[in-house]
Amino acid sequence: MKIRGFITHKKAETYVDCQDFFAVNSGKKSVAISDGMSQSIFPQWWAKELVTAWNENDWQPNNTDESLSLWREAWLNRVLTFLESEKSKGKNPYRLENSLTEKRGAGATLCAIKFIDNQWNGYVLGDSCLIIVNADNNITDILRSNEGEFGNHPEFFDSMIGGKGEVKPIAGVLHPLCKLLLVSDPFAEFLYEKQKTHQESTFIQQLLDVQSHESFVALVERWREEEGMHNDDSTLVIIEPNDTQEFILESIDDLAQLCKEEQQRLEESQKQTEAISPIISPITEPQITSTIPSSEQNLSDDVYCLLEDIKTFLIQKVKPIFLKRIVKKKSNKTLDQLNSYIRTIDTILNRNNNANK
Amino acid sequence: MAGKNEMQWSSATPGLLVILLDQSGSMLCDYAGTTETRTVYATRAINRVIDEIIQKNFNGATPKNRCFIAVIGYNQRAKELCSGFLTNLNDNPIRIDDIKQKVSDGAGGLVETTKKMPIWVDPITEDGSTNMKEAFTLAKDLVSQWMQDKPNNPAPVIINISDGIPYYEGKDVKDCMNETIQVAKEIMSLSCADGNVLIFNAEIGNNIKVIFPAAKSEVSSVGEEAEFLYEITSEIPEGYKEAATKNELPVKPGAHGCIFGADGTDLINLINFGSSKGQKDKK
Repeated sequence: MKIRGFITHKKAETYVDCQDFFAVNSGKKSVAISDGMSQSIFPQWWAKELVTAWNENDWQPNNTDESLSLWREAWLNRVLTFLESEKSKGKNPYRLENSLTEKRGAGATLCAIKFIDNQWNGYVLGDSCLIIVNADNNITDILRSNEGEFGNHPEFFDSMIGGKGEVKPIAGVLHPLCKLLLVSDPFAEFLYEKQKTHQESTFIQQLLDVQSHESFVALVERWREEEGMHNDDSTLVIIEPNDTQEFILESIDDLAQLCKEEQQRLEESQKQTEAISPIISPITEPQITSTIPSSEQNLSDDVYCLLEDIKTFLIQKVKPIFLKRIVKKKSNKTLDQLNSYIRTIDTILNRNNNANK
Repeated sequence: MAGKNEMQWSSATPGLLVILLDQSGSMLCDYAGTTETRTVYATRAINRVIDEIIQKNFNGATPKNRCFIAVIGYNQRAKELCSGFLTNLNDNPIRIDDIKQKVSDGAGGLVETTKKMPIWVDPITEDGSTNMKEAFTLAKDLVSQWMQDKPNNPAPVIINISDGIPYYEGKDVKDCMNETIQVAKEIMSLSCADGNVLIFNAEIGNNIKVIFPAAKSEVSSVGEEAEFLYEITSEIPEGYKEAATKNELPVKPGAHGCIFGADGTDLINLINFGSSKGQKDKK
């Protein structure tokens, strides 16, 4: 069996914000995905606890206090460690303390399966689904814990008390040429709607064509933009049969690694910002206006556009409120480009100054 | 053509919530059936509304900026009391009070605990008139600017918390009502891709509870001020009904987004901030 798994975050958010989680354990031939709920406390940690419980600890899911106690304890310990860390930094995490006092914990769904040969069995709770696809890329079944339309109040496991819904056991056989997709709700709802009008095969093929994280992200962005797929954290695990019944991991996203890379990019970006901060920090808007030459001063259009870009950038960095006064926002330049522009303009200004002397 | 107000309030597409708070002299009167004044009651409602919205969008470490809130108080004049994205508001209350509350002990009982309650708005202490029209005019400017800047975001929502009818500049009350209705209707006709701007109302003067009436006659028993507030309230759009139903709020066909004899926190349960645990939204 060939396994690929991908994850991405909501538009305009980051991987650190991602509340979905998935993992594959090739030794145990198990896969699980979980979707943490937006309106809850540290849902991403709870989603990870549930997935890990299934993949690593042979948990038999049941939405009861007894079944969940170990994983709840692990989640709570992590939250309390965070709470103490915040206090030690001199912060006042009153809202988190309120949440714990009121037992407002996290909520998360689960879709999890394990294989023995080509037979699988598992459990679902909530709107994370197992989708069974036939050789023609048509959906033959969408397995989730409750039927009907998708909404914002799915069934879930609670990290503190209670919960909602009954776990549904699922089982089947992965036949040759068929595929299994474990998906979080944006994909589930999207494909459910496409299936209603028998249009799903084209879209399933596009999913099956995904071979890398980059192509996955591109597809998700396109479907959000062009097809109206719900803007939410999105997870996909594809299981395809081949000539072996072992798990062959072809491409598996690692959320922790994605977060790390994101953090590195952020730190790099901050370093670059700091590197140019001496240029930025002393400048206020009127100074910028007087420093940057106007188009009336014998500058080519190209150079003037360049200056306008820098001016926009400087204004943004100096005082974001001035953004309102900028008629045309040009914020699509990367920091590298802007740094390059700044070096260029510095050269131009120096040359002009020398010429004036 | 305007949509059905179905867009989710998200970090990518934050919504604008404008809260109008009546700070007129009548708010110094006692709230019917209680021992506290209407201004104390209404102010607590405002603080609860802001707190609840932040809580709904709080992930454990920080709130997601899915919403910009502007609070406008009005008496003789309308003025901004506080505003900001959720992170700003969460980090900058004017103070944090300790309040006692009872919560479930997990075994079917209740236990008293202390909750930290952030405060953004304080009750009034001075008399004044009720220039609701100016508050709506200011709100109109805010939502117009917001929609111009963010045409593809959710349609803004205005929640007005008041104990009655407008009275300002020594004008006849009927004229004040008509002028205010006109501005409110202008606001309700504004729209963006998501749908029309919505006005919801919470009336706190009486102790007669009516939730989401579908006809003016349903609120006649509450009084003239209720009929007036009904007049300046939007019908609850389809996009908001699912959230209402999930929170067990009764929404019949043609229901308007106004509640009487209640503090307005139910109104924010109409807003879609993304997946939630449903029953835990209920207070």
